[in-house]
Amino acid sequence: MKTLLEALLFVAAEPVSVSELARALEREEEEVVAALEEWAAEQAGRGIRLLRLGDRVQLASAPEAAPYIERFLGLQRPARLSAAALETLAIIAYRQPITRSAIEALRGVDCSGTLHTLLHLGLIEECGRAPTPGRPILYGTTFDFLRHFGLQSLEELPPLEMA
Amino acid sequence: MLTGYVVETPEFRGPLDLLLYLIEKEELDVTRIALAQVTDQYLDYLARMPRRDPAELSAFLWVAARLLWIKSRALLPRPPLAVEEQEEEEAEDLVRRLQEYRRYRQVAAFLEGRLRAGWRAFGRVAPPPLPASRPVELEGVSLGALLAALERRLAELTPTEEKVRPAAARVTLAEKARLIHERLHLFSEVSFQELLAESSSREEVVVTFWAVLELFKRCWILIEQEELFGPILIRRRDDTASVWESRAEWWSELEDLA
Repeated sequence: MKTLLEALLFVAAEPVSVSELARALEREEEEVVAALEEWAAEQAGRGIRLLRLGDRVQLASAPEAAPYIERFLGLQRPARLSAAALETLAIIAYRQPITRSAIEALRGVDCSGTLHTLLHLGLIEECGRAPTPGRPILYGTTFDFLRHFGLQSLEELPPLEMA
Repeated sequence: MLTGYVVETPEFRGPLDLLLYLIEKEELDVTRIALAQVTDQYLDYLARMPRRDPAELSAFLWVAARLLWIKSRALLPRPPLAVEEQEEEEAEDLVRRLQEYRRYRQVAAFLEGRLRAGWRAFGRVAPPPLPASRPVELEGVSLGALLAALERRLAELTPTEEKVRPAAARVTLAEKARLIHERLHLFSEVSFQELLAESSSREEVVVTFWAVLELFKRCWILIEQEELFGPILIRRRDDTASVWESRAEWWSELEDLA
């Protein structure tokens, strides 16, 4: 099963959900999750990593390899993000799904421009609407966000230090 | 005063950012008392602040109003009983927001560190965007040479006259039946649509349909359709394996049908 899982992940073009994998393999979702975890643990220290976001997974290169990959593929380093963008991203990463007004309440300043930039970069996405008056858009982070910062999952973010 | 002399002030991302900067500069903890202490500096910065858009300015002013209120409470002797809980709440609110904001700012610093280290990860199938193509160097290229290059390229793209027409591959009933058999050996079910999608010609669609009917007639497979026009699922019977094995002669029958 681990072998098949590995093969499916290898050919998957997009992040795939656990349920899709379970359906293809005719296994229970819990079994797939367990096998995924086992497989990911075996990959520690190797060149391929398993990224996880919600119930979806995707393979990606190990972050340590980034400089070599950039040279290999002739890529430029991504543009730096502004401090405001990083702050907004940090809030979304921990509090997602979150509305714009909630982000603005935390930062104490208008965020529409920053959100627009982050959406454009594909680091965040609209992920539904809050069931509150006006049905405001909810934002969440994307697989691009994980890749951009070389994170395997949101759990790799440092714990929010309780001040 | 010298004209043209500009006092350098760092840019702040918002009132909380500025407030936190002032508090940390004074090496204070984030408390109500600290807020009262930095109020003057905050107002001073606000007065010197470069012109900003009204929305941003109002955010700074809102915090300024809060600060002044907190400071006035800290300076004036308190009436022993008059302090209402509501007011206390409001003062604490700014402190709480500042503390929470500081946590996210720490995370932002963590993210910045990851970026600076350049630790990106790449997906396999969605390759990162290719570097922007270099502008084509056309100096010293004549119009004739360009036309010739275009003609060469078009010649490559235009198909040659001669059309190859492969003879339609014939699919026999037995082949289709075998395919379904093999599929059901691996999976507990296959959908009829899936089988049809693999058929490349009308003839093959007919043969596929026929094969399914033949197999069903002989009770080698089960067919399920949960709702009208819903997907048609072909399942193996629990005893399929033995049935299929024991009916070797049926295979030759199927061969003959084709």
